[in-house]
Formats: sequence, structure tokens, C-alpha cells
Amino acid sequence: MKIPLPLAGASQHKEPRVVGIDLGTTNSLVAYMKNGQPRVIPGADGDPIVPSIVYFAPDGEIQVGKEARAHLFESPERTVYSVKRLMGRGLDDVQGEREHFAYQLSDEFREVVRIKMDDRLYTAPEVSAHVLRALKARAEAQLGETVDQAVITVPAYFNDSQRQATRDAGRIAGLEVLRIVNEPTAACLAYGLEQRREGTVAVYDLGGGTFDISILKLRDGIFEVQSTNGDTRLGGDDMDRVLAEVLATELRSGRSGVSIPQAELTERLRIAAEEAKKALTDAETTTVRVELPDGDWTRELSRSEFEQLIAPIVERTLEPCRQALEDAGVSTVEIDEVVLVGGSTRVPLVRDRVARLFAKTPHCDLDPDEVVALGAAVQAGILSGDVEGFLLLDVNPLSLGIETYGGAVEKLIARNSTIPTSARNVFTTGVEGQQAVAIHVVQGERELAADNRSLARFNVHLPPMPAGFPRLEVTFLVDENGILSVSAYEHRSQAEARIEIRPSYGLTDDEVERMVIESFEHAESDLRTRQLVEARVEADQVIKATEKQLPAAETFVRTGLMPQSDLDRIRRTLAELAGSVASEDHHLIRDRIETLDAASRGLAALVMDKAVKEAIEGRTLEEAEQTIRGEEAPEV
Amino acid sequence: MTEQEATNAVLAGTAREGHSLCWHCKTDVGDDPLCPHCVKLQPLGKQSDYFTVMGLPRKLSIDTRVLEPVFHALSRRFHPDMYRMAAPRERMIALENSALLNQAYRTLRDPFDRAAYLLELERGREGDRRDSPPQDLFEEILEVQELLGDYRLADGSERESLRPQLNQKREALQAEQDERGRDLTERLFKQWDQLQEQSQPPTTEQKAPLLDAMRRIIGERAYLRRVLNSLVEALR
Repeated sequence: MKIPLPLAGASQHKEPRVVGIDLGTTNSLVAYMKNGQPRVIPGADGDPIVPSIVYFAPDGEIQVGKEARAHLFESPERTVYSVKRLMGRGLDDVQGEREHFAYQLSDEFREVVRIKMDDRLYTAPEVSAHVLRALKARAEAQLGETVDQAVITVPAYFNDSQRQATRDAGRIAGLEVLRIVNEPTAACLAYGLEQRREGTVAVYDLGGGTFDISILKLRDGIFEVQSTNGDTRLGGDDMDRVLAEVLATELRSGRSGVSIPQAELTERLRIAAEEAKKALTDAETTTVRVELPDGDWTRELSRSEFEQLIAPIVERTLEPCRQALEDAGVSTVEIDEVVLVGGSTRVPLVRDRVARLFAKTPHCDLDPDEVVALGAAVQAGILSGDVEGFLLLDVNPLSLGIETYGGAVEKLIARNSTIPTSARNVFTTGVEGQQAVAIHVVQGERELAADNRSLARFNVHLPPMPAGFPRLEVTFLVDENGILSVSAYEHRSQAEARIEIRPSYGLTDDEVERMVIESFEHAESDLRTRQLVEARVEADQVIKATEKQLPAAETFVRTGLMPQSDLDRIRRTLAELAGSVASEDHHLIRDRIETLDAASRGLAALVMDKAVKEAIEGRTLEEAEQTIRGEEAPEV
Repeated sequence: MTEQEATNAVLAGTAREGHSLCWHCKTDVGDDPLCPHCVKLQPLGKQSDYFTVMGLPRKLSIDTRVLEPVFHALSRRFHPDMYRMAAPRERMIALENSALLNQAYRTLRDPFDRAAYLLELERGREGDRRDSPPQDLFEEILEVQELLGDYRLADGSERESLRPQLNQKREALQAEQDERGRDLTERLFKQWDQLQEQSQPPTTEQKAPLLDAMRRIIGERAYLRRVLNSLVEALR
């Protein structure tokens, strides 16, 4: 097996840098390849984790990550979390979860969920784009170069619409998404790189909102997925919720009234539940604490009680595991290693059940929070050529089919087919002069189209011909990202056919385009805002410092050391600077700062002189030096 | 040409461009996947079938352990991840070649899919086929259908009493299934391969009885598989 070598002279990257991004339900991270090893990129506080939370301030400012999380209690309807649960989904899909979100969803748009914020509506990709933009900025700060390309991970069980939504989010954030990689596969890549293992590996990935199980075969640097299964509506969030509901019932019956708004109470309970869950990883009991204005509410919680509550949730992960094993044609005995991914796999009950199912101790050397991002970075390395000898062969998680007469499904591509893959169908027309053939593509395993997931409707155009005459060859191609593209060739007229695509749960190209433009505008205004704020802060400092020196200046004029005109000029430029601070123009403010600077130079020299003289008079040289050193150059 | 033949021609890609000139530098590439002159990746689709894609003769006995390394090596050559820096045209070719390779491997890996594919190659894709039940099992299958019908209508305790019978039928049919499988892979495959090995290419007359036998077995297996699935579902 080839060992990846560091690039000779690795510091100079001629090609643009590609980073790996784990866009998680709860947390996101960005990583890159450094000297043949993947590394997560920390923020200013040293923590690589960016909570996937976006706060929309009333004045239009947007905060991401830890800053945003701080607003969860006081502005829950303005703080959007777990937006991954809304990606590629319609309103009907999320109705069941709506009451759990403190933020509001719009009832107007059914196919693509929109979040209501003041008088604006945001789609899930737009919100996710804010998180991506923060990660992009972080990477750029660390690497000292622009970052325009990324590999982004998604749950293996994400359908086509959910993958497209992720790619759209990347575009809106100004990132070219070179590859969408499945999370368990990425984790395995980090693991395989690390451990140099060969054999059959099961990756059990339980995150905040999604569950994946993938069975892979590692051999000779090739990571070949045998099967994948999961549940895109199952994760640590559900554990928090189940506990929070119990707490809510107890709290309501215990206290007559709670003097905070319902939305805020929901958030406090949810966070308290999350913290209790985490505490019970290591402790046998914990005190659940909910801070309330009229006194904290507490309750003891034992691990066994918690486990009883979450047992059904953990149980739900086992059936996909059995199905994945069956599809892969392997038994638990033939699994060499089990790798745990995702923060929720820290829960002791999860570890126990997984160990029991696979009859072996799961591997948890790798940090379950970081491993996916690290794997994404390795894949970024494969794409850019920095990492040699490795190749990912993934599969599509859901069967792809087309709706036929009577609403049945004709399966075109079976689930767990290695991708890229394609299928061809030949269509003809039923009506004289028919100029379009409509194809409805669905994803799923059910027999009826209506029971499957509608992906998109394709309208294939052809020139008018007698009924039954055309030979329309339609190719359905699922690429290495697991995303479908359709092309059509009409053989009688020997021409590529034009296709109109209407995604069932996605944004059209035009809509994404508009969002990309808007996001650039927003980013620019963000930048202008920051520059303005910085300019104002500096102006204030300069004004204060100069004002402090004015009495001294008056003395200098009186004693003939400085001309009156100098003082006049300082006063004038000071007033002009003070006047400009209220403006929105940071260039103007900076100009005025420089003008004042120039005008005060003479004064500065005199003040310095005076300080030196006072220091020296009646003192030894050492004392004088000390005094002068202690008194720094006057601020101007 | 009949409609079916026309469709087959479409699917075989022979209706499209039939040259073997490099799309980039126009050198003659013949069967090479990479242009000898400019090293650009060439499309596989035109004259290729699943056997030729994997560099195999049109023989039915395949050692799957040998197949895997070939698949891996070809994956490295064709996978789009290896062509990120290439021009869009070359990336598209990598994508299409990969898709073809993956289908080839998937099909050839399983002996029954392999045989069904051979039939398609030799005789063209068949339209809607109604697989008929194996003649010698006709009675047996009727009994099974009746039994299943009774089972579905029965209540708890009656069902329990029917279960052993259903299980017995399942085992018997599974044995028939396995035997047919062996007949295909051990007898018919070998006969086919022998034909391929003779010095002259086999004639249609020589191939016909073998292909007919394969067709029958594959059809019967498909039918039996559905009956077995019903039994397994009921007994779950």
C-alpha cells in the first residue's frame, strides 16, 4: 500500500487550495492537508469546532458559531440551529418537527422550506452558506491565501435533493464544491490513512440529526463501499428532545407559572437536556439545572433512567445496520473493525449496543467530532494530487427509478450500486406530433412512485414526429457525488434533446444564482460595516488623546514655543474628524485621522521634549532614563 | 430492421460515431484507453461490452478473485477523482467510462447476471418477458400458491400448524433453485467456454442450444425466486 508522501517544497501551492469541510447538524469544522497529514483548522480561541448556529440580529448583522449560540436563550426565534434537518426538504417533510424549532417557518413555500426572519425569508442553503462562509474565512486566515474550493461531506443516506442543497449552499458561500463525500466514507478515509488497515470495516455514524451505517472494504488503498443505510431523521437531537419533553412536563406540573416566554423555555430545557446527556457519558448521575428568573429548577437524573428514555432511539439504528450487512452480503463475523463517528456515539448505551450487535469492541481512537472533516481534507488531497494511491469508490444509497403508467416504478439503478453509474432507457411518443416526453424520477425502494421520494420532473423536447416513431435515448447518470444528471439523444433526428428540469425539493439554477449575488452583496456590506466600525474606534481614540494634549498646547503657545496658527489648525482638524465620525464613510474618517496626525506633529515633538526635560531635571541619568522609558511617546 | 433491432443498435452505440481517432489530437487510437500521442483518456463506449471493458474474453467461467484487482486497477485509471485537473471533455469521458466499468464489474461478478448479460449480447435485449414456471415443478408451485393462500386467510393457531409445511416447501424449492444454478454454472458455462476455445469462432447453430438452455434456466430461476420470496415473506 502506498504511503502518501509530503510534497517536496510543500510550502508553495501552485494550485488553488482545496479544503475539507464537515457541515454537521450540530457542529462544523474545516480541515486541510499539511505535509501529508490532515489537520483541522482552529479558530482564534484554539477550538476547531464551529457550532452550526446562525443568529440574525435585528439590525441585520449576522453571527455564526459560538457568538450565535450565545443568543439562544434571549432570542430563540432569531437563532437558527440544526438547519441541516431542513436541507432538501419541503414543508410537509418537516411538519412533525416544526414545534420543536423556536424559529418560524413560512407556510407559503411548500417545496423548499423557508425560515421567516423579520420581513425576509431564508432557505436552508442560504443559512448553511453563512456557516460555510465563516469556515472559509477561518481557513483563509490560517492559510494566508484565498480558499475557493472545498470538499463538503453529507450523510451517506442523503438523497439527491439534499445533496444538491448542500452544493447550492457551497455556491452561495462562494465555494466551488469539488466533491460531495459521504460522511462514513470520509471518516473511513481518515481512519484508513491513519491505521493503514486492510479488511472489512463498518462505520457507525450517529450525529446530531442523522444516522448512517456503511460497510466498506479496504484494500490496497482503495476504499470500496459495499453497502450503506441509515436514517436522515435520527440523531442526538432526538435524545435531547425526548429528555426535554420529560423535563417540560415535570416543570409545568411543579411550578404554577414560568415567567419567561415559551420559546425561551423550550430552548433552556433543550440545552439543559443536552448538557445532562453529555455529563452522563462519564458520570452515573447528574443534576439537571434549568436557570429561571424566579429560581433555578433542578432535578437529579441517573444514567439508567436516561438510557430507558433513549433506548427506542438507539434501537432504531439497529435495523439499518442489519439491512446494510445483508445488502453487503457479509455477516457480523466478517467485519474486521467497527469505527464510531459523531458526537452521539459517546453515549455509553450506543457503544454497548453497537458492540453487542457486531460482537466486538468498536474503535474509538479517532476523535468522533473531527474525523469526518479530516477525511474530507484527505479527499481534497486526493483531488488535488497531494495524496497519492488512495481512491474512494462509493455507492448510491437509494434506488433510482421512473414513474410508469399506473403510478408504478420502473427501477433504473439499484441501491448500493457503485458510482458513477448510469442507465439508459429508450422512449417514444404516443401522440402524433408530440413534442415533449415527461419523465418523473423518484428515489426509494417502494413499488409505487407516490411512496418514494420525488426527485425531479424532466421535460424532454423533441421535434414533431409521427406517434411511435421517435427513438429517444435517455441516459440517467449518477456521478461520483451521488447526484443525478439526465441527458437525451433523439436518434431519428440525430440531435441532443433539450431538457427542462423541475426539481421537486430544490432550488432552480436561477434561484441559486440570485442567492449567490445577494450573498456577495451581503459579504461586501459586512466588510464595509467592519471597516467603518474600526475607523470609528480609532477616530475616538485619536480624538481623546489629542484633547488631552490641548491644555499643554495652550501653554506652549503662551510661552512662545508653538505658533497660534498651529493650535488653530489642530483644533480645526480635530473638529472635522469629530464631525466625520457620524458619517458612514470610513475612507473619510481615515483621511481626517491622517490630517489631524499631520497637524499635531509639532505638538507631539514639543510634548516629548518637555517630558524629557522634566525627567532629567534634578535626577541622575538612570532615574531620568527610567522616567522617560516609563513615559511612552505621547499618543497622537 | 425490426423495432427491436433498431433499439438494440441504439443501445450498442453503433448508431453513433464509430471512429477510433483521438478526440483531442486526432491520432488513431484503435482500442487503447489512452491516446498514445497526447495521453488523453478515450471513451470506452463505442465498441465495448462488459467483457472487453474488463479485458476478458467472452467466457462465462470467471474467477471473481481475479476480477477484483482488475476492477481496482481500471478504477484508478478511469475514476473522475483522478481527472479533476483535466479539461471538461476529458472529465466527462472519465465519468462515462467509470459508469460503464462499474456496471461491467457489477454484472460480471454475479454468475446469473453474467449469463443474462451474455444472452443480451448474443441475442439482443428482450422486451417484456413473461417468465413461465418450470414445467417439472408446475404441480409443486400450484400447491405452494394454494398453501400460501390458506396461510394468509388463516388465523393464529391455524397458521402455526401450516408453518412446517410452508418451510418444507421452501426448502424443496430452494434445493431446486440451487440445482438449476449448478446446472447453469457447472455444465452450461463449461460447454460455452469450450465453444469459445475451439479454433474457429462458434457458429449460430452451435451456440443456439446452449443459449436456449441458459435462457430457460434464467427464466425459471427468476420465477422461482419470486415464489421463494413470497414464502420467505409469509414465514417472517
